[in-house]
Amino acid sequence: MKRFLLIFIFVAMPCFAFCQTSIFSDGTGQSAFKISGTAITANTKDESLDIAFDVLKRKKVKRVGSYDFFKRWAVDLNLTATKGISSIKSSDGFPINANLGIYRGWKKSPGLIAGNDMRETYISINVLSESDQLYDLTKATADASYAKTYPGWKAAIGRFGYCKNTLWGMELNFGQATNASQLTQATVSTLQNSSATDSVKVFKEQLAYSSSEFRSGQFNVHVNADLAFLLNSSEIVDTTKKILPIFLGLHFRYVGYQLSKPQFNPAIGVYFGKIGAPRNVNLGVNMQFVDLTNALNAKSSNAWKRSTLGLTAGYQLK
Amino acid sequence: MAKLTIEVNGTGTIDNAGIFLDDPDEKLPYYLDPVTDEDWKTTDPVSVPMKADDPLSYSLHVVAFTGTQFTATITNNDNSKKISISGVTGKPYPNRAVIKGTDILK
Repeated sequence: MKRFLLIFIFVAMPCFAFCQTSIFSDGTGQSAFKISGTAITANTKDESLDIAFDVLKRKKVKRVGSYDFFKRWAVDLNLTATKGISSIKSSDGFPINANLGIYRGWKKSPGLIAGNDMRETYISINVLSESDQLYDLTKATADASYAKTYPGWKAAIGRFGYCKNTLWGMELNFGQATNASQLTQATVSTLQNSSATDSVKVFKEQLAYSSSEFRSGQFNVHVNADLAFLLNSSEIVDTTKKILPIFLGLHFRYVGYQLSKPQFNPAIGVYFGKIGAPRNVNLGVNMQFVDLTNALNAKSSNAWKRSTLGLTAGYQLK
Repeated sequence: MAKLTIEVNGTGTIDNAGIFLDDPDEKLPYYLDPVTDEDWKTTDPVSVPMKADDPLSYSLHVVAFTGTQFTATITNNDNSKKISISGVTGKPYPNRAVIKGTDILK
């Protein structure tokens, strides 16, 4: 019995989901509109499953004119099974990305009589643990594909809120992480050759990054902005009709990684909120144009061919 | 004198809540404080000069993104009698609800 390695390039953008408790997130889990609470979110684009927890402490601090000001602390634990729930425990260990952070927010809410715009300014600091599968063809077959865990950190400052029927958010975040989100994965197949029957069969298949391209500890900057327009405001206020809130979402994503040119990854999506809780996660379909300006000089200069379609489904636990 | 506790429980996030009691000119609101993002409550009981069977006039104000549903409860701490109010924000004003009424606690 002999085993061989075969590599197939699999064109898919992987992701490291940061706090995907908001429905208004793009295919990589980035969102500028924050929703606190415990949520489970699944993302078909990278087959990830994400669980986020928040522990909050809120306090009203002052009233200025017709607005009230609140402060809050949150602790955020965010776990992402990068290969889907079925692979949380595999022969390679636990392929889970973890994010533990502290969040400080200052919210300005309309008072009881006037105003219809809310906004919250926040800062957050997070430590990250990222588990990645790599392959190295210079190693022996048995060791050529391996999993490794890398530390990282992220700091963010942002503001989100709503005005009339529009939700909005903007965020600047930066830190150190791997460059996995900039790479494509290959399917690594380990084949088994049986000399007795003169046959070959697939022994094992894994998605993995090339160790020659993969880098850890990469400084990165993300600038995110989200707009979501509530399309059916007059229908959802009729509680007898049980109509889902529908949003048109626009995402602006600017990503810069150390050793790589910055990319502009805009996205557009349609999102369905929860009846009675339109800001909460439920279901979203979005199309993202990865590297719209082709800064990385992809083989295809056609931006349409670099677009990806993603489905995000979530459930907010109360 | 009755001591009342007022609570608002939202299906989604509530951004502010308060109530005017027996105050037709809406001059002195009783503000609720956030317990969670969805649940708001008066920190201290509200004292109102009323008897158990007197009707209570109220004007409930809730601020939340349009389409957020909520239930409010006014409870007399002495006898646990209640008034329950349900509503949704965004009608007729964007991102807020104003519900006025006069009811007897039951």
